[in-house]
Amino acid sequence: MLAAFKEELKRLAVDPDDPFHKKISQRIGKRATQVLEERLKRLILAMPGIVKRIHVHWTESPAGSEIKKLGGFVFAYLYHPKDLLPEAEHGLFGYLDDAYLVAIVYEQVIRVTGKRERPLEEADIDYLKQIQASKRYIKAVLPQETKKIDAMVHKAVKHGEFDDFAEALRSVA
Amino acid sequence: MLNAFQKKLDALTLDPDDRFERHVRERFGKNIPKGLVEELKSFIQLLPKIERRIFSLYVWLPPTSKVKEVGSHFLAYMYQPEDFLPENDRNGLFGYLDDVYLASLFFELMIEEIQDSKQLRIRREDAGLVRKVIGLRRKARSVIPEEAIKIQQMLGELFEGDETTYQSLFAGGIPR
Repeated sequence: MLAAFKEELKRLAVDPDDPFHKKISQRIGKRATQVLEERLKRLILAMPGIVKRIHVHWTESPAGSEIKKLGGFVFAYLYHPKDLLPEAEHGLFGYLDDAYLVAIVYEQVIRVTGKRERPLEEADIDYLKQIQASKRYIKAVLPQETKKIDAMVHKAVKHGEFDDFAEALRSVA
Repeated sequence: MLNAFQKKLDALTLDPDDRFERHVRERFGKNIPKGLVEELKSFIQLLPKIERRIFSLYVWLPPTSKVKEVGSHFLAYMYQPEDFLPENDRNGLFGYLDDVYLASLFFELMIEEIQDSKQLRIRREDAGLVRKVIGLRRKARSVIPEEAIKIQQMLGELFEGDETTYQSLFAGGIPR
């Protein structure tokens, strides 16, 4: 399924009819530079790879751990047909909120695995760099949506409360 | 993502170069029952629908639900191409037969738990889907008997809180 997802993202990224540029311009006007758009696209395209890395860490984590819970929600969230930005309506742009969620959950996963004092693999280092370089751009384009996602993940990580995650999933089920 | 997945399955089903029938013959022998290939293909086509229903029910289950706990393993499994029948160019559509086998089995267990606990009302179409997949799963088992046993074993273990087979699968090998 991840392979199909990757193919679809690649296809949308090169589709001349995809409204990615238009959607970004609608949100931030002239700040929609080519560099910004390329960064955002790269992060969206990296999403299947990041999900794969989350799965690797998820599989290695003990039952009931923070990683198991967080990962479980991300896996479920990506199944939804319509979320904050429905993909069917927005094309590639519709995956930006998913990419942001995946990215910040991945950062948390790495933070927790870092606590276990294990050296990071090269793939993790590369993805983290990419996330660091793109996060603020996504925040500029999706200020409200990223705030919601940040609050949801913060609540889950700091307080172990997954109610907002559950609610977000229910609203699209 | 499920929409992208559906498109991929549709494309593989229509692909004249896909070796689905050949894989079935290799497994079953030359005398495959009439209609078996088409039935198995239609079973695989049901995968996105089953996954959609699993997702919709999963999010409403209480956190104490055993099915919910195992559900995250199921969701994670579906993201992995390297499973009992790897999803690669060689296997093509056939590489999804183990996935639909697992998904349909998990869906059936999910419906059973919901029925027993009366947590949610079972929709008529879900009950119909369960009946449909039971028969198709029997047919799939005749083609992938070893994988079917391993899938059942893995799911049984996960319900017992044991990740042995699941972990081995992603660590590079299924225990024989």
